[in-house]
Amino acid sequence: MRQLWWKIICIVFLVYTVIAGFSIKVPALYPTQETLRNLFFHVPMWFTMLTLMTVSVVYSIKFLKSRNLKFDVYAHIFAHVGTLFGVLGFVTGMLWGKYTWGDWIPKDTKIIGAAIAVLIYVAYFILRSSMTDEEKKANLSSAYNVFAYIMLIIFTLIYPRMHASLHPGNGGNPGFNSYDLDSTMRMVFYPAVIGFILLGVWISSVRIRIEQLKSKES
Amino acid sequence: MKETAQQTAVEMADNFFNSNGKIYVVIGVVLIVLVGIFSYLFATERKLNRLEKELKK
Repeated sequence: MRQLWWKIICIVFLVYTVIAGFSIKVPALYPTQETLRNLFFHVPMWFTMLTLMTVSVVYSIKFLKSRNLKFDVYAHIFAHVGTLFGVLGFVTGMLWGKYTWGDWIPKDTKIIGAAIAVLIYVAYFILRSSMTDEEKKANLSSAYNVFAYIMLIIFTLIYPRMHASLHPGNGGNPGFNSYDLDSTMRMVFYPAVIGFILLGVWISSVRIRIEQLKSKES
Repeated sequence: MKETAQQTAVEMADNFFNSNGKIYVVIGVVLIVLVGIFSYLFATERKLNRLEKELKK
């Protein structure tokens, strides 16, 4: 993970996202108007969160199989950075929602679901900080992380699709094509998603190295 | 003819940041923020490299 090339891709994609995201023409729709450009910045937050949480749960399962404490550190940090992106997604969504749907937090299945999912991960960190024995902490929190991940998938991907939602692509109408994405917007949206995911992995890798240094020192 | 073409070119370059409702100023600002974040990440990594080397000794 210490190579340079994927960090260069991250930088190039994010710089491209900012330049193209502000300068391309987006479909003139009401009530989104120019805020449709938020698609390039708000939605990748959630994609990044889901990716980091998936990496986190994979490391938790790896820990449960091998009992190697290294994997528990990975799982913790990826969930931590994933939560940061979740909070960013939530706050950006609040601002966007205020000026398009008319409320900071509309009563929407996806918003409430995402809030519950983030809170479930907050409980994961509280659970970790409440224990001092490293083995016990790793065992319990890894098992909890598997549960948290299942709840995350249910609350952000399954539950909103079973009910009406303000978000596009929900309410019995799943799938990507139902987004009002025209082809020029896709050309910015996908690089944006990849760029932000790589940024999340980058921040996580730095945090993991700090944790490893801390454990070596003590 | 040549002169007019040159003049328009100069004018375009002058007005770049004032065009399209000054949206390019916003792009510039966000790009500066990005450059700041990336430089900070690289600086942190360089510090980590040094610390890791010291601890290995």
